[in-house]
Amino acid sequence: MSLTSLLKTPLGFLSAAAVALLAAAPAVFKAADLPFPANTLLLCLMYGILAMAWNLLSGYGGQLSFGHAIFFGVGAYTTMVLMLYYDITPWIGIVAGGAVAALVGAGLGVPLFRLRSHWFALATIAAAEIFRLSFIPWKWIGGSAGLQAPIVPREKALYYLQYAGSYVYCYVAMLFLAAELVVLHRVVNSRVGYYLQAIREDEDAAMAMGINPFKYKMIAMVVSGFFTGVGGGIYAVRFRFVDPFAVFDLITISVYIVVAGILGGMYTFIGPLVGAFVFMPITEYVRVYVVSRFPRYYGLHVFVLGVVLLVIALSVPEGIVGWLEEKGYVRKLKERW
Amino acid sequence: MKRAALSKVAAVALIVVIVVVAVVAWLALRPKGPAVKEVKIGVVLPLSGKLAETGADLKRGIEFAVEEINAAGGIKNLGGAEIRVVYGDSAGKPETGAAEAERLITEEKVVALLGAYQSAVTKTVSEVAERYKVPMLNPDSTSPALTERGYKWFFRTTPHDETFAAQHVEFLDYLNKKYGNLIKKVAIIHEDTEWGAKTAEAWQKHLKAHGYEVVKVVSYHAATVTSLDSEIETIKAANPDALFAASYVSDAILLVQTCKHKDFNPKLILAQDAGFINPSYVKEVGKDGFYIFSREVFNWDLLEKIPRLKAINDRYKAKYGVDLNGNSARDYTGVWVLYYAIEEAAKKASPENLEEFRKAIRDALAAIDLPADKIIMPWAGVKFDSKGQNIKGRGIIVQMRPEDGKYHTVYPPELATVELTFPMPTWAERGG
Repeated sequence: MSLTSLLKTPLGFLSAAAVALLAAAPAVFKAADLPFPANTLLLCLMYGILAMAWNLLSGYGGQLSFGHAIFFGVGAYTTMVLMLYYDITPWIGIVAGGAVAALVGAGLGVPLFRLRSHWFALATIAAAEIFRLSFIPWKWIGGSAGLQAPIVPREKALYYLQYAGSYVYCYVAMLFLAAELVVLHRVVNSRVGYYLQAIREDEDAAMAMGINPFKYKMIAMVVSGFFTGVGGGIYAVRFRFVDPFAVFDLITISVYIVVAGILGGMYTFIGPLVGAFVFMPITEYVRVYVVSRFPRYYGLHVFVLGVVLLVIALSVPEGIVGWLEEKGYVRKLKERW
Repeated sequence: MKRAALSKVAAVALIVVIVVVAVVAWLALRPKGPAVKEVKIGVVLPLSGKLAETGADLKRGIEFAVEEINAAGGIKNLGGAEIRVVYGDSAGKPETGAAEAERLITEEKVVALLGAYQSAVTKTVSEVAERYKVPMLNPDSTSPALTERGYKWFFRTTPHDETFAAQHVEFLDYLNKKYGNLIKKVAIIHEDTEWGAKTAEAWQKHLKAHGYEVVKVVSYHAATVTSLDSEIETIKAANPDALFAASYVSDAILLVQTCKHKDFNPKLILAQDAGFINPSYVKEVGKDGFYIFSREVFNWDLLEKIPRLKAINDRYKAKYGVDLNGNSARDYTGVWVLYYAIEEAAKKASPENLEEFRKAIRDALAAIDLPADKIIMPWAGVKFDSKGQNIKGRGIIVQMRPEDGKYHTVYPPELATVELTFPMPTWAERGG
């Protein structure tokens, strides 16, 4: 379907309008001096990248991972170390972070894919903990104190990708998100995507059909690891600080990715991205506004967040996009393109 | 069919236009310009997450200071304008702290930032403050690296881990002078994360500079350690006069018990805060912990020594039902220091010009010189060096006393509430 005819359908027009609004948003926030909405948008984009990547392995491939913080952390550290120790621009560093995370994914796949279903899920949690614990005493990369980039003079801002606020990073994240959408769309609609879904539905039957599960899970792991590592790299340049506790965090990295993925609809293509755009604003705004309105009831916002998630989970268990597809409001993306 | 599709397109377009117009109108019309009825301070603290309890404690100290300042007539040089605190919850995470700092600076238009307890969060929050040229006062993070970054807008009132190490060695000098040169050889035992390793490094540096011999340095991994037998054996074989220890809770308990089992009797065991002042350590070691020395930032018996502190603590306790402690007292003090700087700044600039006012507060902080009687901490006062570190800050040294099983302040001498026992009695002398 060509672009002009896409624009003529209501949904196509709506998507195009959403993309246009999205592209304009950081500039508008910057002009109006609104760093908080900008940061929230960045988190949506970043977790969108992460959840989309996670969905390839865990949604399409059915290999439920609670350890994606590994790739995130490795990507963040790689970008930071290349910038601080080798003076390599993060423009390369972010991609390198993805590459190293992909390699780590390939390495981890060897032992982890010997396990299936919940055993695999448990092993990913364990692996993430191992990474966190082994980065803590690693002195060369800052140990438990982590690494912080110094503030560079304005003329070097572009090389070191150092800007105040989240505005510029929103565009960086959009760039990588666009690349990810293209790559994942291809992978999912290729033989690899179908094989992965076959493995998810019944691994033994898939094997009987001549599919090598190890090979296709490995492809999913490497691609998933790459884009998660890229997400980590974006985090590292945006906050200019990494430590093992922040980037290998079980809840705020590994589990948030899973929540965004499930919330949006994990068997759908675009679902995890939608999930991130629903989940991150809720966490951010609930935290900020509940804490500032009711400062005496610190922690109340976590409760509010829990209730909101519970309501969504009970009313649309198949995820937002999954529900839309089921009701026929949205057709599966691959049928339209 | 075609008509229907077209009207849908029109409807969607209309919605988009309305949204854009509404956003632009709101941005253009939202209220601007603060009236000088209040001055806003931004505070970033871990109000949720694993450190929520500590965050709540810090927040009480801040809230209480602000209430006192406002009750006393607010900022006098601004016609009695009140101080208002806007909180940002870091959730204990560096990235969230940074985003909150940006929000407080740009959207809430705070004149200064205060926080953020965890050194990792303070790192990113202060980086944002430095970038936006907003003064930041840090009352409660002790990583020495924070004031080694060449920042111009960052000020730390609390002493840091290196200051504490220097003070330990001064304490040895004091003991040698007062009790006859009993200590020459020192051994160090430390847990191996950033904090323990850096403390051990600083100890060695200062000990050597003061002419002490470091006979043994031993480290262990606190998260997994189950026995310190061989560590204590090697230290005992080196026969030190004093043992310096940097430990967390369960390893501190293990350390004391192992010293007893191995009948290891140094003349002095001096600990670096942390595990040794934890209530569960105190409970677990019981009388085996008697006579052991530890560094502290604050101690309950100071209430009797500093009259001003006693009065404040009474009001604080009446309000919240708990005593001030090292955390709440440090943040309480931080707000007051910031208040003094704001009073000074108000002589030169007005909050109506935010940029100028922030700069004036920075300059006032850089020039501040508060005497000891203006603050409730056991410090010589508040005065920042060019790195932004308070050079008049210091810790205190406490000893656990057999009379009541509590820590009592023994050093510096002018704050001591009891006569210290030195050398420590041997395990045999204590009997059982």
